[in-house]
Amino acid sequence: MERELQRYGPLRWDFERGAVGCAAGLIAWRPVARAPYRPQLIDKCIGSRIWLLLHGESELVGTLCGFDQHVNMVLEDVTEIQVNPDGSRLQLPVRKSMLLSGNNIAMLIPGGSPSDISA
Amino acid sequence: MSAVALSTSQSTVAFNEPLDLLTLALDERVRIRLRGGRELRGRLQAYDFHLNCILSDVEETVTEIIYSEEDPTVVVSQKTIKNSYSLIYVRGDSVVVVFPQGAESEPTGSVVADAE
Amino acid sequence: MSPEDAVASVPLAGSRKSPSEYVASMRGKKVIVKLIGGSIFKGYLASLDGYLNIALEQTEEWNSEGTGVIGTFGDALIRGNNVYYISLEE
Repeated sequence: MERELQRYGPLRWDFERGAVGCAAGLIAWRPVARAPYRPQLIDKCIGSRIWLLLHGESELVGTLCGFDQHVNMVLEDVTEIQVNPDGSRLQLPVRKSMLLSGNNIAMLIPGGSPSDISA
Repeated sequence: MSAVALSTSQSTVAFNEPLDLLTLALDERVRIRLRGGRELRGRLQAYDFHLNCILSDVEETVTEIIYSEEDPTVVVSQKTIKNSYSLIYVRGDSVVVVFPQGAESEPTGSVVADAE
Repeated sequence: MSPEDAVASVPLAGSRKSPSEYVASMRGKKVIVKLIGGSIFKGYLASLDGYLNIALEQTEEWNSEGTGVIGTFGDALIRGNNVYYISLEE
């Protein structure tokens, strides 16, 4: 847990309106612990290889150079992998740099893809 | 939202934003590619920020591709339907690409069969 | 190398480049735009806005494998929500 806090930063205390107590059903501002601001995690990936699973049948492996509030990303040395319906993976030519729209990103895995690591 | 670009009186259009390309194309024939393999050619009467468009003298080409059930990458058949309309409104969210001077060029024969 | 090590070994923010800076460096250059539908457009980047709406000049449409030109157009305006990535043509 301590390690997690070190990596992602402490939880932030916030206040939201909600039920406090039970019998009376009193509605008031109550403190809640919020998960740290998500981009902090992505921020730590800048400069390292990441593996992106996208909506649809494709994946990207590349070096993260930057991102913005929409999680649009600037990537370098990107390999695009097309996953065919039969499960085979087609690797497309490497692109030196690209701006990836944040719209299609489903999941980000730090450290590159398994094949990338072994290579 | 309400900023429908109807005025073409400006002789010099500042070309900073992508949508300025359409300001130049007002009252010209344009080609619009839509989702689902549809393509429109018509005279651009008006457009807005969302790329909602009003077109006149429109020719619509719908290309439908039927893929093989065993292998979804194999095309079984392809058919094209043509329609024409005098005036239509196109909702912007279905627009994929607009070619301002593309109306007179040959159809590419390609189909953008977007999944969504 | 485990993912955790990969995160831990991040170099300091020297290679940082925000999307807006990247876009600024692409203006007027030949770019490749891939759309969600799989089609690829290549052309000179005329302008681009925050929605990723893209205006291209001297546009070529390529097939989704990137092996052949399907058609050529003058200008093209691509609606941002269909954009998958923009990349510099090497």
